[in-house]
Amino acid sequence: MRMARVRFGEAVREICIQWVPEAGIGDYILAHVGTALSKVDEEDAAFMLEALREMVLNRTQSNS
Amino acid sequence: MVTSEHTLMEICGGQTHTIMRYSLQELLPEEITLIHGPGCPVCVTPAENIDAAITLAADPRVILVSFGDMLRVPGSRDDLLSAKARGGDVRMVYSPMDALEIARKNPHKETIFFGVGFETTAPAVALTIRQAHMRAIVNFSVLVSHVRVPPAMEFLLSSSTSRVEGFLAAGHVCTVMGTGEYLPIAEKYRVPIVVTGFEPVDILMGIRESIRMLEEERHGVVNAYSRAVRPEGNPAAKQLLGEVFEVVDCRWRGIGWIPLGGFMLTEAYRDFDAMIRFGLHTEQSDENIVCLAGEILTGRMIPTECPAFSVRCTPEKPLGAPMVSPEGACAAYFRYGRHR
Repeated sequence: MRMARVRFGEAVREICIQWVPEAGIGDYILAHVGTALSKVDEEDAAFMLEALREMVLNRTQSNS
Repeated sequence: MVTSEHTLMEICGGQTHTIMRYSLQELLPEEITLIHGPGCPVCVTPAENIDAAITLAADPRVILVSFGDMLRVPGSRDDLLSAKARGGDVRMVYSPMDALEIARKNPHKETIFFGVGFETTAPAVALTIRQAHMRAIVNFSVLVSHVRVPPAMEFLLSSSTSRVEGFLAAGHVCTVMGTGEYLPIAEKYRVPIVVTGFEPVDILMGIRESIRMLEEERHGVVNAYSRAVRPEGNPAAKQLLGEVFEVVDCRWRGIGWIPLGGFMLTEAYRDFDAMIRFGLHTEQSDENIVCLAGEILTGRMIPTECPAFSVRCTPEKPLGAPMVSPEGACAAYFRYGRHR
């Protein structure tokens, strides 16, 4: 089984990454109970979350 | 933007939690109602399966291994933590693979893993079972209690009292299974099903997409969590899941029989079924009649409408699973201060 050390905040766990063969060192992955389920593109994620944060901010400002 | 009333349901304990924690219902226009569905696999684990786990834990030959959130859930009489207090070897793990390691290190005992969870968790259990098989670890077995989300969705939609007009689909289940299983449901019941993540903004985006579709009278499946979900899901995980588990009718606690709502081991792996190995049979057990889990899990009632909520039923003294499990609606309402 292909394993990797994965950081979850402060903790580091050994996670099986054989289902996400495209993941490499430094990548972000979504893991659940010891198995990696998908790779998460951090740039995409950061960009989208920021865009959505703006959306929420605009909405709450216009409602007040 | 919203011209009429709409009711959406989420079936994911993580989403329930986020909605309560960030008071997302309050950010929405009055016309939109969010209902919490049975998105807590711990909550829908039949009491008789917990009773079986307790029976097994009491056997001195057994090490009963479980995810932490199952330990305090009451079966029909008591819980696994009580079984441990009475001398049962009950241990908690993060991953089912840790249970296999316990088996390897304790060759003179039988290690039984209590397999609870949706399609997000079942692949990890499948992986563990296949590893046990390949490595010929004979003192390991699984008490299988995994369940599937799409049949529950269909069950809820087919009820004549259903008020649900659209669903937020659980993002992490979909990272494994993809979006394909939801297409026939969206078609048959003409509802929007939007794959949604767990951050507050993800949920708002999922809601926004669902409402947009309802307002435009469109139905179908949309992926609003594309940073983690692909339409095909994770083919390798799905393939292993299908090799080790097959689909079966099963009971969801508080709800009843859901056709094709669960998993059992395929014939090739049935040796690893703890119930068969130990000759146990489950019978439906009587439930605590004060606990209204069934109403809560199907979204017919919210926790604050339950007479026992925060009075007789609290996280310290729970009457039922939705108050015990961190993913349960009652626990979320209590934790985020929705008391009477």
